[in-house]
Amino acid sequence: MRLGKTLCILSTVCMFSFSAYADTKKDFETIATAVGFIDGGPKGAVQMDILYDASNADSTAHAEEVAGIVAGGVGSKVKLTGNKITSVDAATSKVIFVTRGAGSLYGAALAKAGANGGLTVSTDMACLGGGCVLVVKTKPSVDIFVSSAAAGKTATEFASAFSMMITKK
Amino acid sequence: MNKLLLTTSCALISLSSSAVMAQSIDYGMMQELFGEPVTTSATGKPQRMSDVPVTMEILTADDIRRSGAVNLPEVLRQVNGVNVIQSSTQSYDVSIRGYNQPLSQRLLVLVNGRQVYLDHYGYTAWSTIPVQLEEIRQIEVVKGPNTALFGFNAVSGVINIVTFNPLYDDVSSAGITVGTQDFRKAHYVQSLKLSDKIGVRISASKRESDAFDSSLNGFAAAGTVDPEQESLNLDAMYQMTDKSQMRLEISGSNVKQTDEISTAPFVVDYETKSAKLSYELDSDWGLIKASAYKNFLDWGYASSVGSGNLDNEILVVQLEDTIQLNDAHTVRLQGEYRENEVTGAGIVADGAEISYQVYAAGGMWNWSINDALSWTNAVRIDHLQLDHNGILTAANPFSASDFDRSITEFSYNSGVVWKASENDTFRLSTARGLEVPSLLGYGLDAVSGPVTIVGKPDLDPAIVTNYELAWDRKVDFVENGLFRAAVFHQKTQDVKTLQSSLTFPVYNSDNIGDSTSYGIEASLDGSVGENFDWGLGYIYQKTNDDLDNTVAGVQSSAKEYEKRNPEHQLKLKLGYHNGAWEADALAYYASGTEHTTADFSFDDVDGYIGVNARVGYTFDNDVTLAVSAMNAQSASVETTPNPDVERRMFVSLSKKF
Repeated sequence: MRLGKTLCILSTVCMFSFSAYADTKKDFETIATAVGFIDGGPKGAVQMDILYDASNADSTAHAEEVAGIVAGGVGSKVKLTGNKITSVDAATSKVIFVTRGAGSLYGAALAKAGANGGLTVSTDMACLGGGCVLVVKTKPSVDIFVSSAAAGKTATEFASAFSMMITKK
Repeated sequence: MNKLLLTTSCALISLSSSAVMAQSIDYGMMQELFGEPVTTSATGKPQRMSDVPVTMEILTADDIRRSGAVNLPEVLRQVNGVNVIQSSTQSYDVSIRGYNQPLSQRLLVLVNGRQVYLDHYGYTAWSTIPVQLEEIRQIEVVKGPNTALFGFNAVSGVINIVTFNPLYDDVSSAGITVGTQDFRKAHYVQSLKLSDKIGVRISASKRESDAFDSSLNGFAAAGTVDPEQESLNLDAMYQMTDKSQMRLEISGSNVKQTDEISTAPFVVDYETKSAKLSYELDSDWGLIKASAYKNFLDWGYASSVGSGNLDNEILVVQLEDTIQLNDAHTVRLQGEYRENEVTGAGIVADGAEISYQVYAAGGMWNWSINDALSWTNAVRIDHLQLDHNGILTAANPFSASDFDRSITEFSYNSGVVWKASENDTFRLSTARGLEVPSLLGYGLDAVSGPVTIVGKPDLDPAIVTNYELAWDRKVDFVENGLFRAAVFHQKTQDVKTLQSSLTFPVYNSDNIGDSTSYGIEASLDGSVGENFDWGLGYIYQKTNDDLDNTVAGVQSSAKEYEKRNPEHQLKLKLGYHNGAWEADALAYYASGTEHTTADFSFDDVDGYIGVNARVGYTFDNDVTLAVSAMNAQSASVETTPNPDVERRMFVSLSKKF
C-alpha cells in the first residue's frame, strides 16, 4: 500500500515535472521567427542540430521530444527541422538547439555555433548565457531572452525593431 | 525650408551608405510571435500592448469586422472610455474620456502617422479619412495627453489607424452594403505584389444615404443634406535594401454632409488630397524614419446665415531616430517642421492668408530598470510662428501686426511600468499636452450681413495635464480573464471657445478659463470555451468647470463640459464565433447630459442605451454575408440636441480574393 502510494506520488511528480518542462510547437515557431530576425541569418529550410548529452536521461528525452515536434518542419520564413547529435563536433547547422541536462556541452556548443556562423538556442533558461544565445518561453506569455555576452561571442545581431522587444540578459 | 530638406536629404544619403542591419517592423509577424498586438505609438519604440507606459487599447482587424460598423466612429464606440456623438447620418465626433463636442479639437487622429484631422479648425471629419475598414490592421487608441510623442492636439488621446503593409499583407476584397435610410456603399481593395521588393495596395469606395429625418429637434431643415462620400487610396512599399524601405501613400476623398458648427447645422463639402513619402532605415545609428507629407483641403459650407469656403494646405516634415543604447536604455530623437496655411472667402478676407510655421524637437528615453520595472520619459518643444498676409475685413478689430506672434511651449510624458507579477501590471503616468489654437481660432475674419466673426491672434494654447494610475490583472476566475482599471485626474487650462456677444464683434475666439476632470474606468474581458467571448466596461467621470461662458452676464458660449460630459458610461460586448459563423453585439449606455442649443440655453438629453449587432456567415469561397444594425434597440433616440439618431440596418456581401 505504502509502495503504491509512493509510486503514485512519484508518477504524479514525474507527470508534473514533464508537463512543466514540455516544449510545444509554439516554442519552435517562436524560435524560427526569432532566427528570421537575425541580421544575415539563415532563411528558408534549416535543419537544426539538436544537441543532447547521451549520458543524461532528461537530455535524451528532451532531444526525442524536440525531434518529434519539428519533424514535419516548424515556422514559415525560417522552417526548422531537427537532427539529433551527441557531439558538438557533429554540429554543422547555423542553429544548434541545446537540450536540458546538457550543461557539460554549453561552452563547446557556443564556440561551435560561432564557428558555424550561427547561434545556440534553447527552451531551457539554464542554458542562457553559458551555452545559449537565445532562449524562449511561451507560457504564460511569450518571452524571448537573449544573452548579450553569448550573442557577442557568436556575433549574432538582431533587427533593431525586434531587438527592442526582447529581454536582454 | 529648402535648407531643411537639403539637410535631411544629406543625412539620409549619408546614413544609407553606412553599414546597416535588419528590417523594419512587420506588425503581422510580431503579433503572431508575441500573441498580442504590437505598437510603436506609445513611445516610438516597438512594444507589446502589455508593455506600453500609457493606457492603450488596440482594436484588431477582427474587432473591426465583427463590429458590423460601416464607419470608423461606430468601430471606436466599443472602446471603454471613448465617447461618440452623432450629429447627423454621417457626421460624428469622438473623444476619449469626455470633453466631446461638435468639431472636437482634442483628439489627434493619424493614418500610419499622417494626421487626418483637419488643421484649419483642428477637428476630425471622420468620413473624410480615405481608408477602407477592410484595409486596417489595427486601430490604436492611446488615452490621455501624448503631445510629447505626437505633437499638439494629442490632448485627450491619440487614435492611430495602422493599415496593412502592402509589402507583407494580401488583403484584396470587394463588397457592397445596402441598408435603411437608402444606404448604399461599394468598396474595393486590391493588394498587388509587383515583385519581392514592391507591394502596392489600392482601395476605393463610394457611399450615399438619406439624412435622418425622424425628429430634427430644432435643427434647421435647410442645414440638412443627404450625405455622400467617396475615397481613393494608394499605398506602395518598396524594399530598397534588406535594411531600408520607402513608402508612398496618396489619397483623396470627397464628402458632403451636415456638420454641427457652433450649435447650428451647416451643409459642408470636403475635398481632401494628400501625398506622403516615408523612408525607414535600420542602421548602426538606430532605427531611422524620415517622412514628408502634404495635406490639401478644399472646404465649403452653406447655412441659413451664409456660405463660405477655404483652402488649407499643410506640409509636415519629420525625422526621428530610435536608438537602443544598450540592454537597458533606448532613446528616440525627433524633429518636425510644419507649415499650415488657410486662404478663403467668407472665412478670411478675400485674398488674405493666415498661416503658421512650427519647429519642434523632442526626445524619448526608455529605461528598463530590471525585468519588472521600466521608466519612460519624453519631452518636446514646439515653437510656432504666426503670420497674416493680405487685408483684414474692415470689421476686424485686430491689425496685421497683431499676428506677428510666436509661441514656444513644452510638453512631456512620463510613465513607470511595474510588472509586479506574471498577472499584474501597474502603470503610473503623468503628461502635459498642448492644444494649439487652430488657424481659424487665430484668424477667422468673416462678415455675413450683420454678423461679424473674428479670431484672436493672441489666443493661448490650452494646456492639459494628466495624472494616472492603471492596473491590469490577468484573472483566473474567468476564462482568459483580463481586468483593467485606471484612475485619472486631468486639468485643462485656458479652454478655447468661439463666443458670441451682443456687442461688436458678434462672435470672437477667446480663452475662457479652466476645466478639471477626474474619473475611474474599469473593464473585464473573458471568454467561455472556444466560441464565446465577452467584455464589460465602465467609466465614471466627474467634471468641474471654472469657465466664464458669459459676456455682460449673458450666456455666450457652448463650453459647459460639466453639463455635457456623461458621468456614467457602460459598455457590454458579447461575441460568438464557430467556424463560418460570427455573431456579435455591443450594448452601451451614457447617462443624461445637458447640451447648449443655438440660443445658448440648455437642453436636457436623457441617458440612453444603444445596441449595435452583427451576424455574419463566410462561405467556402471566402464570400461573407453579414447583417448588422446600429442603434438596433429603437427606431430613433435623442442623444444630442441634433436630429435623433435612427435605427440603421445593413446587409453586406463581400469577397476576399
